[in-house]
Amino acid sequence: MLFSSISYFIFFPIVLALYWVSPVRARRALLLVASYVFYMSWIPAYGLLIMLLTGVNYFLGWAIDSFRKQAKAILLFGLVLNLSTLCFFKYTNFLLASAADLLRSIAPWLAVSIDPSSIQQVNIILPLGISFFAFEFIHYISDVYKGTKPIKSPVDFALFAAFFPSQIAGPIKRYQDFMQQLPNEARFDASMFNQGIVLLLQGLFKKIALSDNLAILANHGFNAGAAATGTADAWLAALAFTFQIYFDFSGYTDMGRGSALMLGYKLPDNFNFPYLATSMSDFWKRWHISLSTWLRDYLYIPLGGGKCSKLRKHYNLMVTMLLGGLWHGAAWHFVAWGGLHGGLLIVNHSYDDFAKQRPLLQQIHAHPLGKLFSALLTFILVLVSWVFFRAETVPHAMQMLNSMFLSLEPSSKVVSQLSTCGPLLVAIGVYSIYAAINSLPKDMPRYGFLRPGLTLTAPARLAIYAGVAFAAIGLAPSAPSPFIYFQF
Amino acid sequence: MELKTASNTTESKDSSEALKEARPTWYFVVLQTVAVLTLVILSLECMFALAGVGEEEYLKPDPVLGFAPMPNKHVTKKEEGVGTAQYNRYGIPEPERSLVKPANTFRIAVLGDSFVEALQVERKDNFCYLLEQDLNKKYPGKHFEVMNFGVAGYNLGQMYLRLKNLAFKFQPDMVLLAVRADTTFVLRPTPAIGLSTARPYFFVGGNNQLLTDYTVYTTWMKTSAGKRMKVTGWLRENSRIWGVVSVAVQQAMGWYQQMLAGTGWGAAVTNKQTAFAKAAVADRVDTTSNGAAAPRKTFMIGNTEISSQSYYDARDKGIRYFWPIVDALLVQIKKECDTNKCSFLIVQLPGAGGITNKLETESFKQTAKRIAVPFSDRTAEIAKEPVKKVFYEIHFTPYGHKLFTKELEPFVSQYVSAQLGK
Repeated sequence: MLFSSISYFIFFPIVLALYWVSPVRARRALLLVASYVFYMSWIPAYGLLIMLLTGVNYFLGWAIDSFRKQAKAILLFGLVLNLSTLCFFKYTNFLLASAADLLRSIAPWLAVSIDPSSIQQVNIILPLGISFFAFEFIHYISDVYKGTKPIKSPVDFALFAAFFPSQIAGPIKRYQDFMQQLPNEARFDASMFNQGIVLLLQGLFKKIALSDNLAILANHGFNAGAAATGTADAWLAALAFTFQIYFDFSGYTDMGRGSALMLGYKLPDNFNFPYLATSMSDFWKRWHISLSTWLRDYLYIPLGGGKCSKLRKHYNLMVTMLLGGLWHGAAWHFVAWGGLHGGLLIVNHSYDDFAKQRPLLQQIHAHPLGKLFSALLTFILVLVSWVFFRAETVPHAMQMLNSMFLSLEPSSKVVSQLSTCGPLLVAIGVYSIYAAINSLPKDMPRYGFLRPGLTLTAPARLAIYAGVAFAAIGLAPSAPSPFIYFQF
Repeated sequence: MELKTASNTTESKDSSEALKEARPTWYFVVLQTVAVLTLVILSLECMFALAGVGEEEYLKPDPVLGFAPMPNKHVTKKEEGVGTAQYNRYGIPEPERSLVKPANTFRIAVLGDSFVEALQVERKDNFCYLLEQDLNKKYPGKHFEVMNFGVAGYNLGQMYLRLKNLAFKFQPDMVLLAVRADTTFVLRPTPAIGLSTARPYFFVGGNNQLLTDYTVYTTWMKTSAGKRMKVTGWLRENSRIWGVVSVAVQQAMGWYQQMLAGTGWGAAVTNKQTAFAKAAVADRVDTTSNGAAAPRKTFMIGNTEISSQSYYDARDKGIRYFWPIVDALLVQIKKECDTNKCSFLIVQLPGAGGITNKLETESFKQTAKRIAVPFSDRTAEIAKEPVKKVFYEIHFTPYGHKLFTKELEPFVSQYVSAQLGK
């Protein structure tokens, strides 16, 4: 069930109403049932897989805490279990295909004849959100191993794992934060509820009015083939995808966070204006924050982090980003994307070390023009890296980059599509006005009436909410695009 | 203690006053809501007008034709390709044309359904416009106007009525009737399930007399849906919000139907659906990769199978009972053309997504021969091109229109030349 689907807009109000009219003690169980209904609306059988993994990880957490002497072995078992489940569903076919490719390329040099076609692909459908589940379970058993108390109630633990607003594409939660909020279920906070509606609608608008319209442009460029893609087309497609993925993912997160707020839960924010970042390391502090902090805490730091030799630090960074790339998808172009980011982060860190000892460079960076230049450069680097992410294969990405930088073809197939982009242009205009109003200082009373929930009465607010929902539906293209992060 | 009590009293007084101040009066609430609602509606209308959305609804009930395009309506369709059209005051997707034919002008009235109307592409890409351009180039000194009288969902009888009641007013020199699979199929009387099916039906009486029956139309207009159509006429013509609502309702109905069929719970990816989608994709790949030579077995809209060539073949046999009505209508059109001193040509178009009706085409050919009307079937030439290049899911792509124009132009030119004495 997509957050932007009709099904969700029937499912969620029912859950919401039942939740707030139910006795407090029944609310967690209700949410748990709702979360499984939500998950099993795709492939019911996979609900059992998640249930099983939840049960095992709950038991592992308890066992680590209870048998401290054997804790390391139990943790290791838990890590292997979670990672192997993830690998089986996500990477089996990737590994098989890579093995077949490798055999095909080395076959001429091998004395024995091996038929690469004997390596068949396996029919595996990826359970939705499995990467997010696995990361949350790993975080849980690791933190219990480090000494934090495990969750006592199996219902609470199952709810932490399956909580539907964050189920499919995060944000990746931390159980300590989640557990602190469980008592929130007892009280209805009108202001939180209001913020939740605003976030939900903001997410809906980002997803269907902005991202889905941008997807049309991006798809035209990326699907046109190298011969049909001119320089302007390739740049426009890359730019469209850069914003498509942002609005898609942050829109989904907003809808999840909004839904959670309406239920009295706060989920961590995942984005902080990532395209305003002034360096690559700044970008990763603003983009998919819950993933980057997870990678930092459970991969980069255990590898040694930054408190070691320069070379080792760079190695740690590269390994973290390569695995981060692979986490996104079982394909070499995702690995290339991760590798590119790893490389850029290494350059970034090296430059920072270099600039630290040079006051002039520091002054330049502190100057507004210096900041603007840094932001622009970072944006272009991020945009170029998205080409690897969006392309179907590494050669496809190289073809796009060739069109962007080298071939300088005048074709303007995608550019000509702009004439039919009325809904997109209007959606950009509307969102820009909204973002501008939202970024005004909160203590400006004359603009206060524009902030939902401050001075407008409930029926008037309802009219605005309906208007926003309507605007999003009206501006959305007829064929919606699936959420990009669903595949991860 | 006293101080505390006093303070408490003051606090509670303050808070109750604050509460009083915070709680707005009922008329303020109503006034604010009305003001905000008005602002929201106006903003949405402006926004949708700028974006060109909410313009899908363009058909209105018509007591003669069943349904007809609204005059002066700007339409944007996004169902297959994106197409925009500005209907003129006569409800034709053309620039304004005078009823009186300008001197030295040769007018061709093209009759047909959605294939002719071509709202999936821009006007500059549809075959009527392309044909007009070609003819103007080919015959310098003569001005050609190829007028598009196509309306989505029209049956042959409605095309005849549109010719009789509207097209002849423009004094055409030639009438070009574009027929295809649905031209006969939609002649069979069925209960109306919406405006686009509330139409007149035709029968052949004694002495081959053509009879028109409006029962389905009048019955539907008396239903709650028909009455609603009347009441909401102004909104349908003028409000883009209404247009968005109607599309959203259609989508919701589609979702509901999927739910009933057990395939629509969310974006369900059940094994059954995956296998079905895979088969459909494989079929498409198969039909497109070999140059569309193989007949298309499955025809999909989204995840819904709507028809297949075998289905069309069966349907083709079934509609033979309506061939006499087709004959009578063609004879009638021929008669009217003769009376109005214009030539009459028939061209066969391919069906949805390239599907063909061999038996029906043969029947058209025979009738045309019998009443001495030139008939051209270029579907075989079109089928040589990859399906995906020529068709969106149902209708022609801009490339399809271009290709069809290329096939059509020599046929039309032959009779234009004869008529001009060149």
